[in-house]
Amino acid sequence: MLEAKHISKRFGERQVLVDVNLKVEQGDVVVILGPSGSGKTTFLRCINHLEKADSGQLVLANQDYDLAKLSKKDILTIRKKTAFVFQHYNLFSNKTALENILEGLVIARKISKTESLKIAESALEKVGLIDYKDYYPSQLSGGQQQRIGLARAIAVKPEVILLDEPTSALDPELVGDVLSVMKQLAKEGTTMIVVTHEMSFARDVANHVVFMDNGYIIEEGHPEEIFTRPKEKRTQQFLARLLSDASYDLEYIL
Amino acid sequence: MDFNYIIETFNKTLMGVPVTLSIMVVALLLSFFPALFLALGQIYQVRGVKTFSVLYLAFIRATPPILLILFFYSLFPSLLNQFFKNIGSSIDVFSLNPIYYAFIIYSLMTTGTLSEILRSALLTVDKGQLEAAQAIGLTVRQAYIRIVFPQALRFALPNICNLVINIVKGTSLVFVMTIKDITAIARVEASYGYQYFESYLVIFILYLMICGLIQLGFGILEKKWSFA
Repeated sequence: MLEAKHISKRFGERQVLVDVNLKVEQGDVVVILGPSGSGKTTFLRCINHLEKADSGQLVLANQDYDLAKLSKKDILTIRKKTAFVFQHYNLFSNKTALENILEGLVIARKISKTESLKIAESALEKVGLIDYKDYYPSQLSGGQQQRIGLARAIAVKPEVILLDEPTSALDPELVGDVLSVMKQLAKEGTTMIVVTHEMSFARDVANHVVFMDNGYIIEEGHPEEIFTRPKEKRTQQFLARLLSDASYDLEYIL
Repeated sequence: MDFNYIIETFNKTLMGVPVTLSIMVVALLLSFFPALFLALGQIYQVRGVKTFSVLYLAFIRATPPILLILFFYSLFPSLLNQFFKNIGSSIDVFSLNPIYYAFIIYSLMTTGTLSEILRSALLTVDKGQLEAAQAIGLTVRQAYIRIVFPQALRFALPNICNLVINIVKGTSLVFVMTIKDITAIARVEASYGYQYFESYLVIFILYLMICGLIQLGFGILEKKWSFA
């Protein structure tokens, strides 16, 4: 369904992605783990060309793309087939919650106003925020904003949703609301690639976990394998540190 | 104080209000797109545009308005006249309404200030807004027009209000060019009967009213566009 092949990217002197490969099937929930600076976010951004990869191919919905030489038209096509959820939500601050969702439908995809309105409202309903449809982002809490961000992503019915640390900017007590929406989406068969530090989500919801470090994919596999029997030393270290830092998580995960 | 005289002068001076306002409006309209162009050129480091805008700003900032007026009103027409004579044209430069010179001068000055206002406003819009718009499938053009510019303009409103008021007050210099604006009319009235105090009071009150209304208008706009 989606396949990223041999993606490489450097920022100046620093090689942030080295020949990264990832295959995602319909309905997969892929979680990418790794220390900060490992290239997880950059990889995600290369997929929808928010960052231009130096080399690499992308297969999306049976179409082949050379990520290093995308035409403007290809970029738009890829973006219309994907959706992106940002760490800092990035809701349009000059638009209400409803308008935020309508933008991608009416303007980008040229869907009729009445049809778009129906889609947008059902998306808001799904994330439990239909009562807030006329609120501006500045009037919403972080958790609410991120749920609108999720609604904006699902409304366009993308092939895959790319989520870049969707809960890391949230207050701890708001994380749960966003995670439960993500779990619901996973249950419904939404294909997602999630960069996150939420170990419980990775363990309970993902069906594929990827561990990245220094621009390389170190190890990947089923969550149970990765969490209970990590093969690579680097993965073991990372998990051990992460789990000891959050000892309350330790019991839950192990 | 001669109240009848004040009322009479006030009414006559009102005729200058459209002149004052038209210079302000034309200056804003003519300078908006060049200013936006310069601002974007600076932000995106477009080679020629960036150099040009830095130089332009340096010059226009350092030039006293009165000097621009003297140049465009006193020197420029003579040069132009010489030019037309040389190419054998019969255009009479001196019959041109001097208000056109005012339009040019105030547009040139406004472009400098406005481009700085727009540049700083554009920089306040988080990069994530553009990225989110692109990620959702908007073209760069759509993203700017629908998401980035409205937010930047909203942020720029208080500074634009300030700019508009400064243009309005600045137009009081155009009497030098024999344009009959508020200040010019009141000064002429004053000189008839040497009633300078009353005339200056009228000028003061009129500018106070205009600038008050402008502030009120911008205040309403700011509230309407609070996005909250």
